[in-house]
Amino acid sequence: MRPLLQAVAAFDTLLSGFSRQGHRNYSICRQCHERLQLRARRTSHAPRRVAFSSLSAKRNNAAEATDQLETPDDYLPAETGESLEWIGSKEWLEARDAKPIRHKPFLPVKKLTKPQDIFRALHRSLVEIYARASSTQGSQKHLWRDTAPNAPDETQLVRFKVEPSSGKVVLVFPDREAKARLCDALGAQMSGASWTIEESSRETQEGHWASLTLGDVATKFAIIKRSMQLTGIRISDATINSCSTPQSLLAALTTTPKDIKVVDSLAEDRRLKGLDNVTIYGQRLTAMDKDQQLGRWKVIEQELERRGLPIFGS
Amino acid sequence: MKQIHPERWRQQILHVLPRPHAVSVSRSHPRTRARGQAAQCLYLRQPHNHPRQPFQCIRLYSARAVERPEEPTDVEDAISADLTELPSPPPSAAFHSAKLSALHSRLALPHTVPLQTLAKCLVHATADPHPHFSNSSLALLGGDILGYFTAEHLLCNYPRLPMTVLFAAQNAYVGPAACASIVRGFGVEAVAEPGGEVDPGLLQFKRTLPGETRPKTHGIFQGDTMQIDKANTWRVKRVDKAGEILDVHTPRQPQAPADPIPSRTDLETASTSFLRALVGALTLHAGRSSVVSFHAQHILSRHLDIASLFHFRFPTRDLSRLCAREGFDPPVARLLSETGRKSIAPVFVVGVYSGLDKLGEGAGGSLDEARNRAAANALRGWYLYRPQEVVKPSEVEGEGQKRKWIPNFIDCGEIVT
Repeated sequence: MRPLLQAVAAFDTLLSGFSRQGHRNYSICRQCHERLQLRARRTSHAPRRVAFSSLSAKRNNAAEATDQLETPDDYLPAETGESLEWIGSKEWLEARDAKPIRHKPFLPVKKLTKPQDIFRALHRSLVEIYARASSTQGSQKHLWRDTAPNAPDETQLVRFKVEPSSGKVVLVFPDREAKARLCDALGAQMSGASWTIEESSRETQEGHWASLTLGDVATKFAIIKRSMQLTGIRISDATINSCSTPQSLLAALTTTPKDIKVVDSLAEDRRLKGLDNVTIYGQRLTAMDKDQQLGRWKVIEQELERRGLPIFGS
Repeated sequence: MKQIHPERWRQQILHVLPRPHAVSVSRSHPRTRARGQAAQCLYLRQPHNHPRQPFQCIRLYSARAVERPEEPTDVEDAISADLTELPSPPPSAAFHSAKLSALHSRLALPHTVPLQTLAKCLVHATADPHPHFSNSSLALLGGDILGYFTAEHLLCNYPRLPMTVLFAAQNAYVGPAACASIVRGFGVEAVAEPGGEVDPGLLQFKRTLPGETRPKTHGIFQGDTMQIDKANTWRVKRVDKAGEILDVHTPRQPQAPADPIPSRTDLETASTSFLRALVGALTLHAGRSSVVSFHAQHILSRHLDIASLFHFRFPTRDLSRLCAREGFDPPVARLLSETGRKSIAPVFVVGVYSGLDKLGEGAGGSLDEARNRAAANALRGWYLYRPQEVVKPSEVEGEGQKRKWIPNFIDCGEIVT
C-alpha cells in the first residue's frame, strides 16, 4: 500500500482543527469520524475525552480502558500522519521478509518418554510453582512462565511439607546453599519477594510430594501448565479436571493413551447392542469367510488338496 | 369338540432354551469363532462325513454322561475339534447369527419361538439326519397342520368342490412349488454345502449332484402314488409302484424299511420342509392362534383362481346329469347373439337355460364351442358356490373364541357320469 499524501494532509488539517476548536463545525462520514477520534486520542494534542453525541457510554468506557494501558518507554506519539507507521508498502514487505519470524512453541517439540524424566520434570514444576506462589504473595499471574530454563538440580532435593494449621505447602531445603542456588535461579525475576522457605537437613522426610493436594485452582493450573511445558505432553481438559493430586497428574503424564479401535467403539454402542441382526467383526470379511459361511470353503479346500494345489496361494 | 394340545410336546420333543434378551453383538471373527462356540454341544454331534447312524449320538452322549461325567478331557477335545466335522451348526450358534435374527424379525414370529428352534427348522434331514437336529419331526407336524387348515378353508368356503380340484387347490396353496415360492419370498438363502461352520440362518441341505434324478417329493400320500382317473373322478384308486390298481379294501402293504431319508435333495423340497417345520414350531411354541394368523397371512393371502383349475371333458353331459339329479329342467342352449357368421372370425354367444333360469353363458368361435363354454361356466358356477356366512371349526375351538358355531353346508357330491 502506498501512502496517499493528499489524504494525509487532509487528515492532518482535520485533526488540527478538531483539536483546536473542540467542537464539530463540519460534516464528515461516520467511518472517518471514528478514525479521527482514535487518532485524536493517540496524539497528545487531542483532548482527553471527546463528548460526541454519537458516541455511546460503552465506547467511552472502552476508550478509558485503552488509556489505562501501559505505554512502552520508547513510545513516541505521532505529530503528523507521515510519522505514523504505514503497513503494507513495498519497503515494509521487504523489511518484514528480511527478518525471519522465530516461533517458539509453548510446548517443546520433543516429548519426554522416560518415566523418571517425567517424574523429575513434575517435581521441578512443583518446586518452581510453589516457590513463586509463596514469594509473589498477591500476584498469581504467569506462575508457569519459563523464567528459569536452567534450574539447578537442587530442585530434586527439595521436599514439601504441609502446615497443619493453614494447610500451606512449605518447601523444605536440605541446606542453605541449595536454597541460595534456587533463589538465584528463580529469584532473579522476583527481586524483593518474601520467601517462606524453611531450611532443614537432608534426612528430613515430611511425606511424599506426590500425595499433596492440588486444592488451589490457580496453583493447580500453573503446575499443570509448567509440567506440560517441561515434559511436552499435552493433557486434555477432562484429565485436568480429574487430577486432584500430583500423583494423579503423574499418572496422566506417564500413561500412554491406548488407541481406540472402531470395533471397540461400535461394540459399546448401545444402539447396536440392541440389534440382534447386526454382527460386528474385528476383521474384514474376506471371500474365504463368505465361502466358509456358505459351507463352500471346505469343498474348495478338499478339491485343492486332492489335486495337490496350494490352498492359500503360492 | 376335542382338540389336541401340541404345546404339551414342546418340552418333550425340543431341547431348546428360551431366547435370551440381549445376545446380539459378537465381535469374534467367524474363523476364530469356529472353535469357541462348540463347547456346549460338540459332544452331542457326529462328524460331518460320518456314516449315517441316526441314534448313535444320543447313545454316545448318554454313555459319556453317565460313565464319565466329571472327566473334562472329552469336552476339551471337543472344543479343539473343528466345526466342519459337524453335519450342522451347533444350537448355540443360533444366538450369534445376524441372518437368523433378521429372519425371525422379518417373519414377525412371536418371541416365544426361540432362535434355536428357528435354526433347527432350517436344517433339512439330508444335512443332518439326526432327528434331534433336523426339521423332520417339525416338518411332519407342520405339514399335517398346513394341510388341515388349507383343506378346512377350501371345504368350508367351497363345499361343492370336486375332489380333483380340491386336491389341486390344496397343492397350489401348500404344495412344494408354492412352499418354495413362499420361502423364497421370505428371503431364505441356502448354503452351498452343509456343515457345522455355516451360518445357521441359511437353509441347509445337501444338493443333488448334476445328472442325478430329482428325488420323489413327499406329498400328502407317501409311499403309494395317488392316481385319479379322469373319467371316473369319483374313484380314487391306489396303485402300487408298478402302476397296478389296488383294491380300496386291500390292506396296505407294510413299507420296506429302506432308507426313508434321501441322501440329497433339491431346493424346492428343502424349502417345503422349512415352511412346514416353521408351522410346526409355531404350533409348539406359540399356539394355535399364531398358526392361524400365519396361515392366513402367508398361505391364504396368495391369490388362487380356483375356476382355472377345472377341466371338463363333457360339460354338456355333466350339466344334464346335474340338472337331472337336482330335479331341474333339462338344460337348453339358446343363441343369445352372434356376429360375423360368414366372416373369418365369427363370435357366438350362447346361454344355457334350465326352464326360465339361465345357468351360464359362453362365447366361442362356433356354436358348439360357445355351448360347451356356456355349460362349463354353468358347472363352475355350481361347483364354486360359496355360502354367505362361513364359520370354520378352528374359529370356534379353543379358549377365547367368541364366534358362534354355524354348521357348514355339506354337498352331496360331484356329478358322476
